[in-house]
Order: sequence, then C-alpha cells, then structure tokens
Amino acid sequence: MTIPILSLIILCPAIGVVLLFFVPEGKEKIVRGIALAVSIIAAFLSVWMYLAYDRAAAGFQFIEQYAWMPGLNSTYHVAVDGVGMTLVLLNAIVMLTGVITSFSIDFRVKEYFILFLLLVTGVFGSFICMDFLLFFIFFEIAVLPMYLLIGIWGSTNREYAALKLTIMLLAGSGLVFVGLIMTYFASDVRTFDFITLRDSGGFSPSFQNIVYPLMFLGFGTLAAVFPFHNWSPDGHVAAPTAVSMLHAGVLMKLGAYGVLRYGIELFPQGAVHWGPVAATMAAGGVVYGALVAAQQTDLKYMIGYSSVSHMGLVMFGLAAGTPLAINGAVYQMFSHGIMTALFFSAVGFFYEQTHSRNINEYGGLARKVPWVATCFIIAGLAGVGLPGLAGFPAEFMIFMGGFERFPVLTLIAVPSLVFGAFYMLRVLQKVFFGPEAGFTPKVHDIGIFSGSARVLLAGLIILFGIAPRLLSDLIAPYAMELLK
Amino acid sequence: MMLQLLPEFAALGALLILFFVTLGNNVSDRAARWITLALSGFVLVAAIAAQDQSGLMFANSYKLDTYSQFFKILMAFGLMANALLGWPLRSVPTAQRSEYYFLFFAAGLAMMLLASAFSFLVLYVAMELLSYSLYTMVGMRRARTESIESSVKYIIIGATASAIGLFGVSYIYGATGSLNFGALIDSLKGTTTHSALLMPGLVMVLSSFLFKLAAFPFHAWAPDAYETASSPVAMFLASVSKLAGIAFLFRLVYMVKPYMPEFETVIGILALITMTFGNLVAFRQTSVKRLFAYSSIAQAGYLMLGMIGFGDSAPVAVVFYSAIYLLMNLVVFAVVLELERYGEDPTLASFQGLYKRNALMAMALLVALFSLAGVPPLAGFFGKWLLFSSAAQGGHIWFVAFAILNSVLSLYYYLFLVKAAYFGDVPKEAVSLDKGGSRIAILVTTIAIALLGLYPRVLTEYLTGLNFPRSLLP
Repeated sequence: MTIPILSLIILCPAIGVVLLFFVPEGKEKIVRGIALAVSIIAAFLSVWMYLAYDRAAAGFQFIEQYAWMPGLNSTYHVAVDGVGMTLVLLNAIVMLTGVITSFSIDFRVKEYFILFLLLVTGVFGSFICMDFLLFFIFFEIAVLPMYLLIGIWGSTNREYAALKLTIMLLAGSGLVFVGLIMTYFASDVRTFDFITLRDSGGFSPSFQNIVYPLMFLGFGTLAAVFPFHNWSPDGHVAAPTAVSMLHAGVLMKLGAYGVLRYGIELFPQGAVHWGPVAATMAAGGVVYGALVAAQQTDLKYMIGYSSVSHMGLVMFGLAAGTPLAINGAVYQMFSHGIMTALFFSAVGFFYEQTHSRNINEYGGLARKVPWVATCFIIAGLAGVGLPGLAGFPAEFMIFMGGFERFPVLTLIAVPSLVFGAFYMLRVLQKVFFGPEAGFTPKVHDIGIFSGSARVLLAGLIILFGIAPRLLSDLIAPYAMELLK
Repeated sequence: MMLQLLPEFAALGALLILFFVTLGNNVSDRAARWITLALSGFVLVAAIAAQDQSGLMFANSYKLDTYSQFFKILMAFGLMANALLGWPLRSVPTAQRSEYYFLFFAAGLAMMLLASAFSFLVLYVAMELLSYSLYTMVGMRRARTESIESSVKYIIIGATASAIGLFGVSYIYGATGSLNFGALIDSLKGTTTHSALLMPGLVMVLSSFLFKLAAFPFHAWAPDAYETASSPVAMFLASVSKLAGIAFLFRLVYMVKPYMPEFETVIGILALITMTFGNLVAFRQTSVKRLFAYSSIAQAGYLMLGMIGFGDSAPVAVVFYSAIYLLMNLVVFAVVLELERYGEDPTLASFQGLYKRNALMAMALLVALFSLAGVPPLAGFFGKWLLFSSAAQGGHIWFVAFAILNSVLSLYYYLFLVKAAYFGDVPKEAVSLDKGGSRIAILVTTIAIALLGLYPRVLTEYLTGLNFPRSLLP
C-alpha cells in the first residue's frame, strides 16, 4: 500500500485544529508546541514529496480518490502536478516560518493558532484538490479565517481592512461560484472532476468566452489583479505579521493558481480570447503597484503595493500564455511567496519592538541587528530582480515569454522594475545604513529560534536563485503540456 | 383514517390536552412547558410514524404524499425544538403563558394542514388558523405597547393579504369551476390559452403566501413583529412558521409552472426583489431581532428562487434548504434568547465580547451566521448550491448571478455580529453567561449544520429517495 501522503499533508494542520480545541485555556506553551509540531511534520512531508515526485514522468502524481457526493459526481480527488507540488512546498515553508513568527502573539493564543491552522488547511486543500466543488470549499476555508485573524490580532485600521478584504474576496468567489454552476451544467460530462472536465468537458468557444472572465476576475481578485487590488495593501498592513506572511506569501498565489487551473486550463480558448485584456490589467498592476509603492513611508504599505506589482507580473505571465511565460509565472509565485514572507516577518520584527513602521523613523539598523537586516536586504534585492536571487529567473522568464505575445505591454512593464529597484535601494540605504536615527536605538537583536525562520527564508531565496532548475524541472513539463 | 392523519390528530390532541390542563390557571409555567415538550415529542413520533402515508382525502381536497409527510416531520421537529429552546417566556404575563402553549399547538396543527392542503378551501381555513394563532402570540407581550402595535399591524396586513387571496380564489373558481387543485391543473393541461382570470387569480393567491413568507411587498409586518414580540415568539415566527408558507407555496408553484412559464418569471422577479430588499435594509439595523427579521426576508427570497428551479432537482433543493434554514435560525435565536436572560431586546452591542462570556455560544453563532451567508463548508453553502444550481438548470442563470451577489452582500451584516461577538472586549456591565441555558441543544444543532455541509449526502440521498417530483404532480 502506498502512503496517502497528500491526505496526510492536509490532515496535519486539520488535526492541529482539532487538538487545539481540547487544550485548556491558558496553556499557551502546549498550544504553540502543537502548532509547531504539525507544521514541522507538514513541512517534512512536503519536502519528502518534493523529492519523491517523479520528474521524468511529470503529470499528476500521488493520486487518491474516494467517493464524496456520488449524486453530483463530486469526489475527494487529490493529486499534484508540477504546479501543485511547487505551491504545496511554498505553503509548507510559509506555514512553518509563520508559526515560528507567531510565537510572539501574546493574547487569545489558542484561538489564533486554531484559525491560523484552519487557514493553512484550506490552502493545502485548494492546491491539491482536483475536484472543482471541493476545491471551492477549501478555497473559502482559506479565505474566511482572515477576517477574524485581521480583526482580532491586527493593527492599523484593522476592522475596516478586515471587512473590506472579506467582502471583496467573497465577491470574487461569488463570481467563481457562478462560473462553477455554469461549468457544471454546460459540460458534456456533468462532473466536478477537474481532469475529466479538462479533457472531455467539450466547452464551446462562445461558452469559454463567457466563463473565462468570471474565473479571471473571481480568482484574480484574490491575486490582487489591478484594479481589484485595493483590499490587499490595507489587509497586509492591518494583519498581524504571520498572517501577512501567509496572505501575501500564499493566499494571493491561490488566486493566481485558480486562474491558471480553473481558468486557463479549463477554458484555453477563452483565455486566448481575453488574453489582451488580462495582460493589460496585469501590466497596469505592475506599473501602478511600483509607482504607488514608491510613495509610501509605511514599510508594510510599501511591501503591500510592491506585492501588487509582483502579482501583476504573475498574472502577466499567465495572460501571455507562452510556455516560458507560464513557467516564469509559476516560478514567480514561489519566489515572491518566500520573498514577501521574509519581508513581512522582518518588518514585523521591528514593529513589535518600536510600534513604528515609518521609514523616516529608522536609520542605521544594519549595525544594530545585522542578521535581520541582511535577511531584509536579501528579500529587497530579490524583489528588484537581482541575478543570483530567486526573483531573477522568474522575472526573466516572464518578460522573455511575455515579449513574444505582448511586446508593447512588456516594454511598458519593464521600466517599472527599474523604478522599483531605484526606490528599494533608497529605502534599504535609509533604513539600514547611514547614521543611527529615530527608533533604531530601541531595537534589540533577534533570538536564535525566531531568527531561524528568517534565515531559512533568506537561504531559500539564494538557493532558488542560484539553482532555478530545482523548480523549473517541475514546472517546465507542466507548461509544455499546457500548451498542447 | 386515524392512522393516515396521525400527526394532525396528535397536534389536535395536544392542543386539547393543553387547553383542559391549563384551564383555571392552576398549572405552573414550568409544568406547562414540560407538558408542551412531551406533547411535541409525541407529535414528532406521530409524524415519523405517518411518513409513508399517501392518498387523497376528503373529496380530493387533502393530499398526503412523501412531500407533505416530510414537511410534517420537519414541522414537528421545529415545534419540539421551539418548545425546548424557546423558553422561558419572561416577557409574557404569567396569566397568559398557558394560552401561549395552546396557541403553539394551534399554529402547529395549521401548519400541518397547510402542508397537505389540496384545495383552496382547506388552504384558506388552514391559513387563517395559523395567522390568528400568530397574531395573538405576537401581541402577548403586554409590557411593551409596541407589541400590541405590531400585532395590530400584523393583523391588518394579514387580513388584507387574505382578502386579496380570497378574491383571487374567486377568479380561479370562475375560471375553472372548482376549488380543487386537481381541477385547476386539469384545466391548465387542456388548453394553451388560459382563461384571462387565471393569471390574476393565481397572482392574488400568491400574494397571501408572500405575506406568510414575509416576502416583498408583504414583508412590512415582520421586522416589527420580530422585534417587539417576546423572543420565543420571534423564534417561532422565524423558524418553524415559515416552513408552512414554503411547503404550500412550493406545491402550488411546482404544479402550475410547467403550464404557465410567466408565473415562473413573476416568482423569480419577486424573489430577487425580496432578497435584495431584505439584505440592503438589514445593513442599517442595530436591534438584533430586527436584523434577523430582514435576514429571514432575504432567506425567503433564496427559497423562492429555488422554487422556480429545474423540475427534477427543485423539490430536493427547496426541502433541503428549508430543513437547514430551520436549524440555522434555531441556533441564532437560541443565542439571542440566552443573551436576553440578562436584559431584554439584544442589540448589536449586547453581543460584545461574547467569545469571552461564553465561547460555545460565540462559536455556534459564528457557524450559524456563516451558514446563513452560504459560506462553505457549512450546510448553508450546500443548500444554496442546490437552490441556485437548480434555478440555473431551469434557465435562470441571471437570477442566480444576482442571488449570489446578494449572498455576498448579506455577509456584510452577518459579519457585524461576528465582529461584535469576537472583536473587542467584554463591556463592564455585561453579565456572565456561564450557567444554565440550552447548551447541549445548541451544540448538537451547530454540529448538525457543520456536518450537513461536509456530508450533505446523508440528507440529500434520503430526500431524493422520497421522489418528490412524482408525489407533487397530481
């Protein structure tokens, strides 16, 4: 018998949720211990699966399928291909580092970790479910805990941000829900099974042209596609550190994943038809995000808007639809996920000590906290696409691939990166170098345990920058397959 | 016959027993409640025992089929749950409490009659019995004059609605020469051109049901009645009494719509207006009972949309949603009632910090609210999936898109309550909610809502097995 590794991965955080319910109030050490234990196990299983994935065979692997709703032809069907594998790995990493970062949460700890793990369960489920209905259910489980997580443990303007985020994301999933119903009844096969729908759905081109925009906008809202991005910077800023990490690191990728899987793969002709519109929106996000990020003095807002810009790149790659661009888009999902997780975790570290995120109130931090500063600088440089770090191969592939199909838009989007680089370097210079200023004297260096999360993330950025084949071996066969 | 009508006779018996037992006011409130609970359990057993009965009775004016019998089980369950959770009747004067229990079963009997009504005459009698019981129940909270006011408002709107309905019946009688549904369908089947009287007649009859469902434009009584009535009564109105309107309206719509597509459009448009109105107005409410009045107006809209769904799937969708609608409202009002033990008429502020005062109730509330908003993986999502997919299959994809937009809107005000319950701190003057109450009942219902979302097969397969389409069509 083979080990049901995918089910085990979902079960880790799910069991964590159940266990936490039974931990008596006030036993915070036990709560943190359980959360850490399940995330270590999930990370271990994900890495194991990453190593065991048969790269030569490609395609869907680790398949499990059980009956769930036979009347509707919906099954519990889990499997991963190159994309799913990449994102599961990303989620496991962000979950582990997020849990470590969350150790500084000091009130309502038990509820916090219950919601946190619930969210992670939803994300894992969405990445590996090959059943549209079940995917949608997991998708919502991933989105909703955000409301409470931001509303209770958040900071600046949290109630507003939580409400705005929830309503916008739910409106997005409303569109997906309409698309889900239409897909089900328009297909020749009356099933929710993704693979069957993709291979023998028999969707007419005119139907695809109607449904694709629903999927693109519905999932695109979660991926913060311009102009439906404005929940995201507010949400990032208000959320507690680890939730920002998960949110920018993984949840937004879930949106892009939805567009890829249930938009482009299911309705390829619709995707081609709407390609120019999608690409324009995405390129708009790239430019807009970069320009607005440059105006910010709040570090979190700056990262929030640069996330909009980076997710714009992902969407641009998806819209371009060439193998290279898709390859780059998926790579960017992973590298941006790790990069923002690191960003937010570093900013959170400063904020916890000084309660300020204002760029002008810091200076010369590099001498004071060399480890965190180094991590932040690595993330910043990866963000501007410095070769040798994980952002570079992704952006390179997106632009190379995108240029084939949308040369003009690509040429518009590229300069914003240069602009972003210029600005990022200025911020790094101001905050980390130069004379000690503002709150800097109050900042103390980080502990080994909590520092380990940042160092892990920074190490991965370097690793996947130097050896892009570690991921592109997984993604490239998928992208080639997709084009057929 | 006795066996066939077991649930009705049980309800009638319960009513009579309570009438005689409480005669002369020598029974304590507590005893009356226990008797009610026991009798409602008996009615539930009777309803379950009679679930396989079928046939036309009383000169074809009363129909027993799997549909009516299942609704009777739901109603009996709802009665029992109300007897269990809807207590104590703090705001009803002691002298009248026994009458409350009497009316409780009178309404229960009327609901069961409605589920089986197969002629406009039975329909009218059952409707009036139900309405009069409810008018009185709403007006029982003497300490608050608004209670009387809303009762009067309820009577006036109700009387208008039944007058319109009765007038419509006269048109239908004029067009078909019979009060019987069978005859109505026969006359519809025969020709493609219907009598000009038929459509106005049906729309007028429809209006008396819109009143029962508190659907637009006959909704105006509901917010006042919910808010000013004693909370157990509000719970009764919101949960079980709606089932009766749904049960009957769907039977009528289902029979008529194959022959009159325009009737379908009328219902669809009214459904959209109802849900949009309910959701938008709910935004501005601060009184929780009032908020739930609007929420249940919106819920009625979703149900109406499901009623015009595709023939084979609509019945299961409507019945499934009715069942979980009952569960969700029971949970919500059970929490309201708990809060009310320490001060009347809860507002949004009284939910402040509920998570700390009672974690179980806060969680039950969260589950019920998310389920009402139709969020996966809770039962409400699956219910909405059934309703909306059935309507989409029936060719109403635009209505469905609009309804989904409405569900998103509704989340906005449900989140207000979540916010109050989970964010922020406990107000200083708040009382602890640690002891007493119907913990176990709330917990069980909440778990049922979650499980029916994860594993709806349990219910849907049973309902599909009952073959409603066959039993609904004459």
